Amino acid sequence: MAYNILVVDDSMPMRAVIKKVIKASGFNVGELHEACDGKQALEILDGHWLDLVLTDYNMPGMDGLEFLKQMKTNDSMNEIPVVMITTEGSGQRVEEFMRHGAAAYIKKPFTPEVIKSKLNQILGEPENGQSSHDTSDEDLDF
Amino acid sequence: MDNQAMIQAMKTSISEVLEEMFFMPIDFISSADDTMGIEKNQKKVVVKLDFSGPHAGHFLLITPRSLADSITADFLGTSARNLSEEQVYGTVLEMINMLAGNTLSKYDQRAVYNLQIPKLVPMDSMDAAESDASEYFDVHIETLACRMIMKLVVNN
Repeated sequence: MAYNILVVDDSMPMRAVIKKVIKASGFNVGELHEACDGKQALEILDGHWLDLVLTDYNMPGMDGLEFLKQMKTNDSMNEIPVVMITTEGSGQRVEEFMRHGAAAYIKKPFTPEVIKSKLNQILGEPENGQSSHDTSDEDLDF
Repeated sequence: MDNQAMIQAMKTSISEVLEEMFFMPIDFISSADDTMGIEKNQKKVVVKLDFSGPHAGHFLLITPRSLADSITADFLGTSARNLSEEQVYGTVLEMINMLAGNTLSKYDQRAVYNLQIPKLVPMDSMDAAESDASEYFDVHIETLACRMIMKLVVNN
């Protein structure tokens, strides 16, 4: 099964790094989309079926929390798991994310293993027979 | 504000972010010993992040352009010769985002701080910002290549 994933972050380098880690995770990745804020992310979700969303919190325009809330009130999107990836580390903030339906939370900075672990947790282990993505031309150390 | 605790939070955050996310071994030097510092006429990337909450102020990160290029190339796994301005500035902006968020949560994990979107700043706006500060912290960071400086300015 190929997973379609959306990465939402206003930082272009961070989107590139997260996408790289996802590709190297061992999962069969189908479509890998990216958006620079919540509004753009909702537009992508409106036109594509996705299996997972990873989103930053602090973004201009629509931030990650507002984006999460909007997803969860939309019948066509509310079942898609959302992972918050953010520098926000306060207990109250994390509780707020989870209360509004986030499936998991990753604090920046993170290692590739943390991303992979969350993918495993939410999508299940990569299917048998899938080897790790060939990293001969990609460095897992970002 | 507990000054010692804040300096420690800054240093711990810097070590964690730069070593874990950017794979940069670093050391700290005291500002008094940093006689070289960053040369005035050296091209730099300066970024700023405003915050509010139990305390309000801003963080600044001052990075020589050559170091910013090198960090970005390593971060993205590409050659420094092929980098765009967007990639370099974007990387340093993301760096201060992580440094600020980590510092504040290490300083007080229970408090909720609101971080603004980081932005590039011209060098000449830095001094004006510091003149109204009630408290001012700076950490001088030595990398293998050269030095960078992280500053925290707390408003009156």
